[in-house]
Amino acid sequence: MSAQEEQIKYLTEATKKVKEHAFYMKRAIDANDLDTTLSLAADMLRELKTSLLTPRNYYELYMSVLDSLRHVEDFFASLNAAGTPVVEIYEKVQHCANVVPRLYLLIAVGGVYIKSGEAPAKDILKDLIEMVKCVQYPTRGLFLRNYLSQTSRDKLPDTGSEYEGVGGNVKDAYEFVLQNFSEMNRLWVRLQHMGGDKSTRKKREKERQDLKILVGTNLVRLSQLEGVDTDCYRDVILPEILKNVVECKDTISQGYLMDCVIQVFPDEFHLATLETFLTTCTKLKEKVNIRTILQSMMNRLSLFGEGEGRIPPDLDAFRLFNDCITKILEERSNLDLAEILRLQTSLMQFALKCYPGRLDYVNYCLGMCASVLSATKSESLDETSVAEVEELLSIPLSSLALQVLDLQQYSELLTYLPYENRRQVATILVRSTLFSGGSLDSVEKLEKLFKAITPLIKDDEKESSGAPEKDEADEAALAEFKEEQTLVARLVHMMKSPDTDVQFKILSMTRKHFGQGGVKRIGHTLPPLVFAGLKLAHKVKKRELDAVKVQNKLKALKEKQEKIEQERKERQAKKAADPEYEPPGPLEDIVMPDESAIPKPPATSCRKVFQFLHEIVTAMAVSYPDLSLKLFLQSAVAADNCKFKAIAYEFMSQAFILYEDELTDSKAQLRALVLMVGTLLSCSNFEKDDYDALITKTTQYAAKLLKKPDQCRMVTLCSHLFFVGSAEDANHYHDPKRVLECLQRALKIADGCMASSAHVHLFVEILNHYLYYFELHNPLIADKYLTGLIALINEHIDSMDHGEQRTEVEGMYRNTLRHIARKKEEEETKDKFKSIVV
Amino acid sequence: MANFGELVLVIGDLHMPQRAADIPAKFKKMLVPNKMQHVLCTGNLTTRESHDMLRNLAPNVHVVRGDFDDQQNLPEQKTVMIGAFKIGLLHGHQVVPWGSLSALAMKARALDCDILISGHTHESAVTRKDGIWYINPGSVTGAYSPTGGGDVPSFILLAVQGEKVVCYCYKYNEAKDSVEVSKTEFSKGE
Repeated sequence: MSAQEEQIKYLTEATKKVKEHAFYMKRAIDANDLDTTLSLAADMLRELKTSLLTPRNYYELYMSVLDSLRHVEDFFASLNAAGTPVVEIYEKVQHCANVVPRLYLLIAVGGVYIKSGEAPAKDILKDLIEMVKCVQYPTRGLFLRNYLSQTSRDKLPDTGSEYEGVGGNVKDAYEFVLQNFSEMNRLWVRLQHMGGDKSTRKKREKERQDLKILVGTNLVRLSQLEGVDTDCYRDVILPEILKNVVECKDTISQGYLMDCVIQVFPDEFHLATLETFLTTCTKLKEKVNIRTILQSMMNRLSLFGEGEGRIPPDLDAFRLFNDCITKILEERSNLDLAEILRLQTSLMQFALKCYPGRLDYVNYCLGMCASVLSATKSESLDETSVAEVEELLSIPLSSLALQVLDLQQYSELLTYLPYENRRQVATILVRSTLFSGGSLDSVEKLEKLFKAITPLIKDDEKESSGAPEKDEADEAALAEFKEEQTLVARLVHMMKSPDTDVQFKILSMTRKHFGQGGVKRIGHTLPPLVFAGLKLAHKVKKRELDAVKVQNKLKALKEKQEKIEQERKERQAKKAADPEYEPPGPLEDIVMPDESAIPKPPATSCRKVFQFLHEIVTAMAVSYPDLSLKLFLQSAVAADNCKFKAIAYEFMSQAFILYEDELTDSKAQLRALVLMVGTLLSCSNFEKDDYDALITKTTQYAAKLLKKPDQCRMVTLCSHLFFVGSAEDANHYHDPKRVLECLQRALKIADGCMASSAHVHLFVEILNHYLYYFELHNPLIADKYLTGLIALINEHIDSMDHGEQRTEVEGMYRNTLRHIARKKEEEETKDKFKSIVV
Repeated sequence: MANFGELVLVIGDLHMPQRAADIPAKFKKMLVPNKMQHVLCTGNLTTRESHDMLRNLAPNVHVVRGDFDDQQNLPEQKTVMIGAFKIGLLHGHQVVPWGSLSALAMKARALDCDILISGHTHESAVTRKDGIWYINPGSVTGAYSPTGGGDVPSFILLAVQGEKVVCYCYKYNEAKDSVEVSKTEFSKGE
């Protein structure tokens, strides 16, 4: 029979006996027969004498005995109610021959005894606690005492309880519980040493874990005593508990009870006794996991600190914890590196939560780790320690974000991590920075940031490359890379110095860093820098204009001042010549503004910002021609906006060069051309010759597109280039003849598209353009062209195949004719439109 | 809650991360799933993340290709029927001169629509010309534009009920960290 089967057999037999005895016992109770009841109860309780059962099974048996013992308790109470003094039953029970049954029965009667008030509670409790001492077998003793604890739970002479007064006071209550606790802990520890060799040690440990709750319950009872206040806890309760903890010299007991103390007593008690508690921690056995104990205390206090309560300012909790940790590190040699790091991490976490302003605390913890790491001899860290350092460096980010860079030790610690882990930390750092929303407004701040996030900015010289190689890259790695670069790109928009000169320095420095990122990175990181630069250009321009305005004002003031000075001299001369001379009135006093109050022109000129942009986009051009072309066009509009004609022209021509040299795909060409036309139309300050050159070139590109319909549409679009602004605008450019030529050329190309039957669609589009220029009063776009084109469309539209294409054309055509009809009716336009024949 | 009919979010020119770090937090709180039935986007999402964000907002999401969008599968323009309205949607860089209503009118005739939605200028506007409504949601991130637009993040919400539209234009005031709303109402065939 296996040990387990044996256990089941013992338990079944014992339980069966208990049930039998209980059955007859209940009949005796019904017959109101005290003597028989006591004798049968004793028989039942005798089963608890066994030492064959494991604690878990003993517990099963105990529970079923207790179930029936309740009836006996009730029976005693009913006898008492009917007039039998409890003391009589108490005496009678003493005669029970066996120790275990006698003690259980005594406790049962004891409970009724206290309730009856026939004797003071404290006397009965003292009597019982003395008597139970004679059971020294661990399991039996623990359960017996648990029964005592349970029965006495609501009968202690605690402050405010009905038993207080004659029954005693809170001192009697806690002394009783403490004594029981102390004895139970001793029994529990002794269980470990109940014979057996090393092989049974594990089994014993397991059994003890099953029983720990019995010991811990006593601490719960203590925490429930109303009369125990902070002083009492500090002066009596905790020292007594800790004395037991230390003196028992047992690893399991120490670990469990320290944790129990943290969990069951209120925060205020812990705050009042933190030092005592932590001193005890340093005295525990080597194998006790002090980190988890400290961690759970720190968690408890930081939850309190985060909630409504605050850690009192006179309690230097950080120092106390730190002293404790320092002492442990000094005295214990069995702690490995990862465990030391974990200890420091939890202390740092505590500091972050409870002392949000104390960056020095965080720095201190990081420093401790750095010195521990520098003391380790091995070249590279083990995997667990790497994970711990990564964790250590990631934790402060959520609350401190960029502030970590002000911590000297932070960057120092980063160097201990391998490239991959540094990259992870860097990603979190950038995320937190973005989330915190603070602005990156100084070069120094950025230098530090870039140093910390180097793994995102460029490849590692020694190790693996951060950017996945195209052919071997799996999709996930590529997506991750993209995500990281997007984060870096977003950082650019946080670079916001109110001083344009500082901002330029920031962007220049960023450009240097990003420039080292390699082809794959710059496609993500440089474009945002270009846009930040363009934004800056507008700001610098405004500053320059403002400075000129101020200088002009100053000049005018100075001239006025000189004039007045001269007048003064003349008056003095007159007065000298003629003492009777009376000046016509007082002279105005010109107060020149204070030098320092005069806004200075920017040190970095707007022109220089555009040079900077030109350089960046040029650097990207070979790898990203399509994108660079668009960036050149954006820059051209911005330069034109800042009235730099030559620079705008340079940007335009760079875009044209890219178009010619790099754009071979016909779709890309079409898209680029559309943007080039739009860009040219948005610029209004080109020299006429420059503009002529640009638009002539653009129109040539349009005519050279591969597909005929594309050619047709682009030539039509190019017509706009020859008719810019209204005649009243100073910068208008009207070349009505070239407009007409464009449209006529487009019509010709459309005519050639007959095979694809796209021609009708194109005709209607061109008709709309005629109409557009007709309304804009282009003198060469005459009604006859419109009339002719309408006739042409009418002629062709009927021959179109029915289908989606035709429906579309018909819709557009109908809308166009409706528009003409509307214009024929409107007062202002009816004269102009009346000659168009529909 | 009052019945607003079908809610249509009109949004575009996000340009993240090239021109802006993020959509203003105040806007993000308003742009939550299960409120709108349609999203009409004028393009320049530029990244997949932005695309996914829109797709989470409503069951019907229509996106056209902006000048800085690389995805070739996005259409240049499209039309959508909502309520009694045929709505034309395009980014707007294809229509020159940029932002010109007369030029956009040609596009509206070509698309045969009642409402034409376009972006690109980064300046939100609701305008009526010759019986057509022209709606520009601006840039929801306040993305930079070299033409001088931009800076003010904005988007538009249309409540379409049969033949009626209420058009809410939201603008973000950075200095006050507040959202300003203006309202325009119109009916079909007005």
